[in-house]
Amino acid sequence: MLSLLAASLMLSQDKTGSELVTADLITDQVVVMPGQAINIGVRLKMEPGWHTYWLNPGDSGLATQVSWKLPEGFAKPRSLRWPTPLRLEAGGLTSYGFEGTAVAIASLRVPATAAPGSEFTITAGLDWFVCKETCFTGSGKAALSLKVGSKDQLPPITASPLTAAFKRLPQRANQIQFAARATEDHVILDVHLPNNSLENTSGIYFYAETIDLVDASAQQSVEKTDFGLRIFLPKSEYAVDNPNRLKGILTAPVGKTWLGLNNLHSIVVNALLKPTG
Amino acid sequence: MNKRIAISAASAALILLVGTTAADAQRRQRRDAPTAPSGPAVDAPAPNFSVQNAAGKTVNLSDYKGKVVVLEWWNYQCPIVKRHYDAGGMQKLQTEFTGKDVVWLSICSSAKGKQGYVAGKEATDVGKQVGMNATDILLDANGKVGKLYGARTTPHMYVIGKNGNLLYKGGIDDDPRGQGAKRLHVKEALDEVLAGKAVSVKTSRPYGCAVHY
Repeated sequence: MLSLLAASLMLSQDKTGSELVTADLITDQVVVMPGQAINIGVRLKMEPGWHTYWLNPGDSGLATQVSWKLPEGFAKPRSLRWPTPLRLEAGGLTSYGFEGTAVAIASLRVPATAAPGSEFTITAGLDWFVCKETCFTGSGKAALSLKVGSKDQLPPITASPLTAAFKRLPQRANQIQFAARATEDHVILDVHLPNNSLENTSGIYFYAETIDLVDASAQQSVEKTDFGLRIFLPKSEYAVDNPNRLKGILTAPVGKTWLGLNNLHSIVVNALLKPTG
Repeated sequence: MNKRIAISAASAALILLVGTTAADAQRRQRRDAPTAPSGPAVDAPAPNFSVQNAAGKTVNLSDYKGKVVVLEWWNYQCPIVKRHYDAGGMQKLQTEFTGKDVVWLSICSSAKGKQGYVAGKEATDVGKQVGMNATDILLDANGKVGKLYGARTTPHMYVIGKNGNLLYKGGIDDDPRGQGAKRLHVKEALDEVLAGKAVSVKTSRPYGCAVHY
């Protein structure tokens, strides 16, 4: 059995970069209505032990790129929402990425002019950088065919493969306010919590979406304040200009959720980043 | 009995490798992140180092006092490094600037057993195979020089001026994906240094594979 395990590991290392990741598109409904907003999941399945990268890959690596090929009348999805990444640490370097399965979700609108009875195909071209100890580039294509129906034809949604994927996305928490400012060495993120009852701050971590603004490997320090939390994020030695906004994901303390709400494991941060002299 | 234990241990290992749940994610969030390798600042003295070359001879940065020196972090198996060598861009830069009395040191910080690790004659042979035209190949398997400079990717490039100050650190260009560079950071920095001008872009984001310390 152990030799089988070794053999399977050997096998996965013989694969090319394109074979180490399987990509497909998933949805909750194969029949859609004209004008309807639909969600499409881009699912990446990595071979055991291998990882691909988040929007900000951290100290090394490259984010997965998705390019859409859509039928006429479709607008490009405004955003592709990625789940909260993992922190992958090796040799003092930190990367942000995904192991196992990762599903990014795009929202699209079926054109109002789509003719009932017609079919269309959505295609996503993907380019990834996949690493374990070694790294490979790879690419793939994923397609999904949907049928345009009318209201009375719409079958009930029985299975919902996107439900689990939505649960892994960072959530917006309107009750929590953020304020961010940049100093020469740090980005300081203030988190205003409506009821300031956090007992424990361990496990709180901010994933900056902007590449090379915050040092991915540096220790982030979290202080409890009268309004909630103040988080000191050391800047990357390659940080150049401060962006106008601080975007990222803030994770809750280990075993807790924000505001004690079930779905708030990690929350979306999108705050004006003020420069300070 | 022993066999059964081995089987369950192996299947547990497989489950660990395959499944990534939110709980796994949280367990992975180590609280005490190791200190980041942070390198010298630009316009500050480039720290000296001593390291063996592929021929087993000790090379010191101070041996090249008074010269412009390029440090190139190198892992011949990294796809991003390969891309630069396959397209010939890296060798072209090496040839052009070593021809202008610039010292070009290609440094391998891959630990023994990790991707890109080379030792002794193998390093020279691999260098020849890829058409490398550096002044020397330096073998830093214990990662000392890499960590001293905060090298985090391959390639990761540094330009040191005649006065011994670090003048540039970062990516070789602005094109992580190989879709066409707009700025050739290392070439531009070297052209400026050799023309006696100040370097206009002193840092840029290094990109590539992680240095396999």
